[in-house]
Order: sequence, then structure tokens, then C-alpha cells
Amino acid sequence: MSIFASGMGHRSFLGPITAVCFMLGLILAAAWHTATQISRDGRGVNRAGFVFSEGVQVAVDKASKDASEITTLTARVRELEDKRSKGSSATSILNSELQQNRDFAGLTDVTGPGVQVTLIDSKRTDIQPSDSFFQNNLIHDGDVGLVINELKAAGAEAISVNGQRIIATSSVRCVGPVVLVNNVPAAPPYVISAIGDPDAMYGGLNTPNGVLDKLRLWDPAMAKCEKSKLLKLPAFVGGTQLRFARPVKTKSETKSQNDSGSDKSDSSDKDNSKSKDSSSDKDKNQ
Amino acid sequence: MKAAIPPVLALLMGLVLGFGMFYYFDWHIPAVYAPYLSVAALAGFDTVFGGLRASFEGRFQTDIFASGFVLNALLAAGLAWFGKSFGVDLGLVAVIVLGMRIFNNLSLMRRFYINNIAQRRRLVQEAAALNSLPVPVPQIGTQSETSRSI
Repeated sequence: MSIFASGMGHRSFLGPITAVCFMLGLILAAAWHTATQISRDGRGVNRAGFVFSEGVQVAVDKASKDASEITTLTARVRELEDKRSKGSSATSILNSELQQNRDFAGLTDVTGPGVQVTLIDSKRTDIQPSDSFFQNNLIHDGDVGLVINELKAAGAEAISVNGQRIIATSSVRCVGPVVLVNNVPAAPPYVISAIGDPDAMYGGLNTPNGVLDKLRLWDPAMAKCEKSKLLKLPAFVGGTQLRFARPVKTKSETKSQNDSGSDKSDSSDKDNSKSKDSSSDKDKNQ
Repeated sequence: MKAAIPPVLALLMGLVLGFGMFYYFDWHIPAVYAPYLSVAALAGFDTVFGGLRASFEGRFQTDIFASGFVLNALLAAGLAWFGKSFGVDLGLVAVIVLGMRIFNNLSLMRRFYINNIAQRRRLVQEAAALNSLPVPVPQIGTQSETSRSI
């Protein structure tokens, strides 16, 4: 005895409703899946109809794609340079110098022995008021910077922090809850890899009352330091164009310019105009 | 309530199959389309409840049901899209209307079911009081016309 018996004697509605329920299940699964994906990625749909920060995600995706393209193109450039310079000894010497400078500047992937420092926020919960004020339990940009400085002092030849290569113009800086390395956000644990003499760097880092000891004073788990036989550091991927700095010209270069150009007459013109300006100023003052 | 088993089973099957496909093939629907999908799913829910209610009342028609499923879902998603294009959240209109209809249909089905049971019980008691046992239990369908007071 069913309540459905009231209407039609036969259950003609059961088939269509079952079919539609199945399709509804598929649609629901799609909606559900998408919604969980959104909340997990933090792409932020708060309620139906409002979507935030889609543009940010697009930009981030494009940046990472561009970075990988830069890496492949740089490798290709190097390959072509090597091929091109094979003709004469002069070009091959120039090329080897160019590649050496590139290695030194941090524009190529490098491998070698070294040390790996891992800095991680403390899990201790017994935080004193003064400790919580200075946030001694957290790794700060300064800690990462000090470790980099110590590594350089101990003879590191290449350093990277969380996959970001440290070059001459690199910065390590704190913005809100994250540390920016080369203006790229890095999250703990901060893995600082350095290529160089492992023993020297290990000794430098573990100096009594040194950079790591200051962290270990609070919590020994915050700083870890390991020697490694083979590390691989990525190349720096980013702009290397100088906008303001210009190389200082050597004597021989300036001489050749003076011979060819008419610098003298230009400078005398400048002097004349200057004296004129000053005289007019005088007139005004009087 | 045996009749409710196949639709629920189909719903679960669709859910499992859908999730399975999304995870297995690693499909991703862009986050921009998520609101439309949710509103369309709500429209589907409304249609299913409407169909159940119609079958309770004995006036279920397959063509109306099927067309309602497709058109309601399209209309709800279209309304959300249309509203977005000029800055008014018309998706909320669909959510409110469909939500109200789902509650309405559910309450009607509840009333219908309870009324039928109460009537059946009353009839049995009256028959017992008349002391003319054994009493054949009356069919509810014959009384449904009188009990359709909503």
C-alpha cells in the first residue's frame, strides 16, 4: 500500500524521476567539486555571482610559465653562443669569459658540494609575553639574511633560498606573514642551500653564539644544518637590465671620444649660458 | 515508501559517478562558472520535488517534467549570467524562488501523506466500532479527492 497509489495506478512517473535524479546527481557533483576546488585554492567565491582574484591567479600562472620559458631560452642562447664562437680563438676566449661571468652572476644552474640550512618556525607553545612581542618563535627575514651573510663570509659561491637564487641585486624582506626573496613570497620551512666548502660553511654557521645558535637558544628545532655532497641550485630568473648604473669609462675610451667629437666647443657653450643665467639673476636681485 | 528508493539510488549513483569522473579525468570547471552550475543544480532539485508532488497528486506528466528540468536549469543559469552582465545579482532571485518552491512542494507532500494516513486510521477505527469484522481496509485512492484540502 503506497501513497503513490492515490494517483495513477501504474508508476509511470518513477522512470522519469529516476532519470532526472541521476542527471541531477551529475550536476551536483560538478557543482560540489568546483566549489571545493575554489575554497581549497582560495580563489574566493563567497557566494553565488561574485568571483574574486581570478586575475591574480591568471597573472601568477603566466609568470611561472614565463619563468620556465626564460630558463629554456637562456639554455638555448648559451648553446648558440658556444656554437658561434668555435671559429676563431678570439671569439672562443670571449665566449668562455662571458660564460664564466654568467656563472658568477648566478644566471646559470650550478651544482657542487655545500651545506643546506633549514629554518622553521618553532612549535613551542610556552611563549612568554616578551617572546611573543619580539616573536622569537618565528623565522624572520633578518634570520634568513644573517644566514646568507654568514654563508657568503664562509666562502659560499652560490646561494638559493626556497628555489630563489641569490644574486648581487637580491633582497630578503618581510611583508606581512611571508618572507619575500627576490620579491617572490617564500613560506617556512626556509631551505637555504649554498655551494662552497662544506666544512668551512658548516663551521661558520655553527660558531658558538653565531647566527644559528641564536635561534637554537629559543628552540633547537628551529635551525637545522646539513653538509651535502651534491647540491643543485637553480639559475636566477628575472630582469638583469641595469637602468641607472653605467660602467665608468676608462681613460683610453674617453680619449678616443674626445678625438672624434667636439666636446670642447659644447662645454664652452654651456659655460656661456651659465654665466648669462647668473648675470640675469643678479639683475633681478638688484 | 518503496517507490522512493530508485530515485535516491540514482541520485547517489550520479553523485558518485560525477565525482569519480571529475577526479579520474582531473576535470576543472573554471571558477567563473561555479555560480551558474550551483543555480542550475538548485533548479534540478526544484524540478524533482515538483515531479514528486505531482505524482503524489496523481497528475504527473512526463513531458512537463522533462521540459521543466531542462528549461528551469537553463533559465536559472541564464538569469544569473544576465544579472551579472549588468551588475545585479539575479542569481539570488533564482535561489530564492527555487528555494521557496522546494519548501512549498515538500510541505504539500508532507500534508498529503499525513492526511492520507490519518484518514486511513480513522476509517479502520470506524469499521472496528461498527463491529463488523473482518473489515477490508479501504483503498486510499478512492478517498483522495476529499483529502486534497491543502
